[in-house]
Amino acid sequence: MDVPFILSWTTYLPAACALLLLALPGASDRALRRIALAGSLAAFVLSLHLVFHFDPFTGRMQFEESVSWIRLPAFEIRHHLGVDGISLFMVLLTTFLTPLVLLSSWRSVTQRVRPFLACILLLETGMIGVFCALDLMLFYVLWEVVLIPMYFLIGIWGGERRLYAAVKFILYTMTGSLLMLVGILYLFFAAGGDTFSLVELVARLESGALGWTSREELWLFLAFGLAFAIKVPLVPLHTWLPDAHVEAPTAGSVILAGVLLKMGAYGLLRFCLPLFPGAALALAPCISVLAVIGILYGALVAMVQPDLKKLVAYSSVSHMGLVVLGIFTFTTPGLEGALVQMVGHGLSTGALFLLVGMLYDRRHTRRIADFGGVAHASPVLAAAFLVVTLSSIALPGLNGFVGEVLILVGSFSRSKVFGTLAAVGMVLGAVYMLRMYQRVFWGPKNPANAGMGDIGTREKVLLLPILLLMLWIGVYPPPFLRRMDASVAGVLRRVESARAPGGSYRVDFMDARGTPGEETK
Amino acid sequence: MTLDELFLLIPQWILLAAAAALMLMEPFGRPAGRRRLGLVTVAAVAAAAYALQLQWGLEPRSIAGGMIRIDGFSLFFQWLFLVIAGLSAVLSTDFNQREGIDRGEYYALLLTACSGMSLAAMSEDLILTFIGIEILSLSTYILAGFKRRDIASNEASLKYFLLGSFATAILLYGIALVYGATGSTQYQAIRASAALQGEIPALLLPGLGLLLVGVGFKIGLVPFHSWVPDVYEGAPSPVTAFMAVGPKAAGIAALLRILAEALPGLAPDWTRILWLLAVLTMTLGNAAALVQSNVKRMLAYSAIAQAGYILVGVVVHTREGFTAALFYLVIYTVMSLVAFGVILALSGPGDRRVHLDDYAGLGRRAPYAAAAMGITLLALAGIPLTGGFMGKFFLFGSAVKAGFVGLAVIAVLNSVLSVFYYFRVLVYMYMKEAPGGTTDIDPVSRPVWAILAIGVLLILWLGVSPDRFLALAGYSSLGLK
Repeated sequence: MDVPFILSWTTYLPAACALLLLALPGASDRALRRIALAGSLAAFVLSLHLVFHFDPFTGRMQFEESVSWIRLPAFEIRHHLGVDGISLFMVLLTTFLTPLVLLSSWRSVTQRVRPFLACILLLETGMIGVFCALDLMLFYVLWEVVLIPMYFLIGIWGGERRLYAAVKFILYTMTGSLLMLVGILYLFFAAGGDTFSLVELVARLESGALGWTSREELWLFLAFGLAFAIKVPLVPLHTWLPDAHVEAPTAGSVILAGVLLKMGAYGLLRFCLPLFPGAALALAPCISVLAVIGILYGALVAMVQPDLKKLVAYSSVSHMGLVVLGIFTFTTPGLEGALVQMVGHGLSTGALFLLVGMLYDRRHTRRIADFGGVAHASPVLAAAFLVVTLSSIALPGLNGFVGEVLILVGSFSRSKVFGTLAAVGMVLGAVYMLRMYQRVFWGPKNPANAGMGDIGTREKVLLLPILLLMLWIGVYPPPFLRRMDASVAGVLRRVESARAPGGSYRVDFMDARGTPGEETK
Repeated sequence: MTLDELFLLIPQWILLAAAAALMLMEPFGRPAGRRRLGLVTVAAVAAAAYALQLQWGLEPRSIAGGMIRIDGFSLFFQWLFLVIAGLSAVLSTDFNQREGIDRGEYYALLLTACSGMSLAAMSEDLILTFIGIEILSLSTYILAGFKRRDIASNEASLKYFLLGSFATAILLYGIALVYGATGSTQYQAIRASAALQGEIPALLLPGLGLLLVGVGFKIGLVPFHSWVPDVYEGAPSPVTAFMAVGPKAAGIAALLRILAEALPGLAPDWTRILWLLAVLTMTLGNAAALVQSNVKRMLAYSAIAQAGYILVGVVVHTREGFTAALFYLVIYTVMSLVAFGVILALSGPGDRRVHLDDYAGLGRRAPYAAAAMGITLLALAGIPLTGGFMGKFFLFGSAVKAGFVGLAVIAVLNSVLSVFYYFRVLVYMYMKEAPGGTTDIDPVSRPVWAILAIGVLLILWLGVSPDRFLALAGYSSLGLK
């Protein structure tokens, strides 16, 4: 079955739903919530269509659609969407998490419900659009559109220092993205000034019709890379993240950690690697060093956090460092590991924020020291938290394991030092997560926690799909990996094509599934 | 002048005739129906617009002995100025009644200012350019001080007048030097003479410099901007709205004509000077706006910075650059008018409630006005899906294309800086609670609502589908060179 404009439907359904919400005066909060949930669920159903009809044997874009948007004499900006193995699961992650986020805020957000729901839905449209956009300008527009609802989410429904966090968030990300705009413009004019299409630009680079001087390529890589590195975030550009995560309301934190950070890593994979492979190769050592520093630094800082949300926020810095390390190994397991880890981190960190939000709803504190013995009062919550914790520290059989092991395999094949340090970071991850779990759920009983009660049906319904999905990815990842293979191979081919013959090329000794690496050229 | 040529100037005749009529209506009209003044003004503007519309598609030509040029560029700016005058009149009507300054002279001066701006944009002769700018200036000096009993308004007027006279003198001196160097005040003749002499006469460069100072003052470029914040703050809010867009656009128009038509031979020189001025204007405008707590003053500095962005298109001096500058002028006009429209709608009796604190919790107290302001601020900051983004996109794009990557990067970093203060208003409107004891918002009149609504729709429309307006700007910039 071929559904025309399936990607547009998926992308814009939430936004249409948001407009509907704003246009319904006098509807009760309850009704508004239901409409929003229905809209996001519909988007999820539409995105499922993508998975079922996805052809895993091609690295090309699928479900492509392209209509003219802004037509000028010299060029046109097209509304060009498409997904491949790299973006498919990012789209799904977004559509999967959004309904859960809406459900999680069912009780906790009672002020200004209508704009809150509208913000979440607009955010969803922006995020899906970012992952589908194949026109550089369209990508940029949607990339920026994501910022605004997030800004309001943090600034209006956030915690104590929400204004500071919101402004910091917007300034950091805007700096990166506006420099990217200059990069896009330069790229556009360098390529002949007639197209913003990513597919077309990559094709021109591949055919040699378009080429970079090494200086140009380096600057362009940096212009794009900075925007993405801030979003990921890569140390030392990460300082907006703890503030934003901590001050955002639960829903905002989940979306930030679950999806927004992935936009950065996705951008690296989708734009930086195929467009500027030479610069990517040249800068890979530096970026890997930063990534490793991020892994270790994030973990070490997470260890000493007294605040649950802050701890999870710094663990994100650590885990996302791992993703970047995986990408810049330029190996199949490294890249696929990074993709699985992106999904896995979205699920586990998203779930962690949801669970912390549930704790907060009951106790109105996030300080680890205020808890203790919570497992007695809320056994189901404790059990769910345990599963998510274990997934976050990469216990085999859960999603975290698959991604992290693949990344480690990839990075060991490139550099034993980086691989070892990354592994150390994972061990540290286990330390701070388990210690936190122990202090919150076991330990001496804090009498204040006695009456906090266990999670209710709504919260169980909310957590169950995440837990199941974690288990599925952990136990049987091939359905996911298979759909990534062809696209990842395409990106790697692009990168390897830039390697100078006889240069610092090394054969990949290990490949996750025993197939030979991309030893072309 | 032949009859034909007079016909081409009918829009201006209509404006001036209406101005005279308004002055007469003041003493002879019945005091009860004062809204008629605004209506007559709008009717005159509409009539002029209709007359102008008849000129659409005419072959470009020079009239009045080569002093006035009728081409796409002239049409474009006449349109823009008519829109500005009409909207300002609508914004003024209720405000003036509230403040007790609803006088015929006010509207008459608006129309003469509009006429002066049009002359400056159409002129192909330094003398006429000067006269146009003078008509405009004299009108705005008085308008700025129209609240006679208000000290701030008086100060604004006097300051503007004193500094403005200096700028005028400098402009005139520049014209004299250029005349001395080239032997003509007509753009085509200057162009021919300067180009003919292989070596650039020594007088010409100082002349160019003085011209830039004089026009730069009108546009409010740094370092000739010191009057802007005080005058914008002190003038009655509708006058501020008018001054933020009208004289600025007129100055840009005159500048474009002079540089592109008379002195293209000096392009390497003025590009360098304007590059510096653009950078200074953007950076200092934005930096000063960062620390303002008075919204009107903040927008004054923002207006300075916005002029810096527009100047980028002039520095680039390619077709794309000029087109982008014109396009941005349209968007800037809409954004400014909406922003000041909201301000004057909310400023309350005495035009006093213009502090950031007065905007606290506005999102709840006046959701629609806050939404209009919010969207406009996003546009001013250059967030996508608003016209402000499209304008910047084409401006910076033209800069990158012409090789001014450094300028584009500086402009972009300036945009980041501007996000800080534009978003601070959002913070106040949506993220802070109204302090206790704040008075209610006065009801906003229907015509003002209509303007705000149309403006916001236009901002969004230009952000999503700028093709047509861009084509129009492109057609108009064809008149240059």
